Amino acid sequence: VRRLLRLYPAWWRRRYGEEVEALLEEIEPSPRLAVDLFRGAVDAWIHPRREARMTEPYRRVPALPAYLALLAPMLFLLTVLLKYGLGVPGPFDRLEGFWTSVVGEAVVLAGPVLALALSALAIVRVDLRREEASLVGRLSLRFSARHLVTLVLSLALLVTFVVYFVSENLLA
Amino acid sequence: MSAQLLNDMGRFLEPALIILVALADGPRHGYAIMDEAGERWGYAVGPGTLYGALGRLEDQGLIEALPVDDRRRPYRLTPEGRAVLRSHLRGMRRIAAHGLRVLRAT
Repeated sequence: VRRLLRLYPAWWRRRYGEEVEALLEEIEPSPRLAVDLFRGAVDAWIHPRREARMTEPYRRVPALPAYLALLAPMLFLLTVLLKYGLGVPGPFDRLEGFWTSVVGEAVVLAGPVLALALSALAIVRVDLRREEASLVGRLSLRFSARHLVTLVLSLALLVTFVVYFVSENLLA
Repeated sequence: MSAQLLNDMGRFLEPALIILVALADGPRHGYAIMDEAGERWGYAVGPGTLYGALGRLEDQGLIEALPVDDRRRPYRLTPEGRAVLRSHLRGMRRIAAHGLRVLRAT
């Protein structure tokens, strides 16, 4: 039953985790208790306490996975530019088998999407709370240089790929 | 205003009232409140509900947290919490008195 405390948001665990764990040591686990803790977790996500809303830190998302996700698409774009822009076909041709494989296409297309999602997780914070009969949301942004770089790169790659796809398949 | 603070609690109104009444007697930590609610009033409240209500009461300034003592944090009623509880209980007493009068008469 104590594992259910992992369902609670970080601010709740910081504020109440220790005392609730101590409390759970005193009572018998039961399905009713599990349901109550689950409902409490849902409530804590929907209705963060005032203290939590002011002190909740942004998610700590490492930038490295986003950079790794961008490696293959960046390399693909670079080899394409070398071949079709500067007339240097070597790098692209050597990797053509990979670029045209299912795995290659998936890595090139999913990379920017994954990097964009990771950047957004680190940059954007959404707080939802209920005020009277309404659900009120607050959107906060915190830009750090490393996540901003991955955000800009992933967006640029996605736009490039979409423009290329549209011009090649829909406008041709 | 006072009564409104408690009425805004939604499904947490009843546990909030139990907490305030338990704390009227002096500071208590979560388990002691649960224990008193169960033993004295036969009111079973789980920790998920209890801490949902405690957080709301803290936000409204009706209770305040004291320093942790052996992994347990006691809570106590604030002067505003005492006033709100008194006002709410008086309102309940009027309703109960009226209801009982009506029942006796019919």
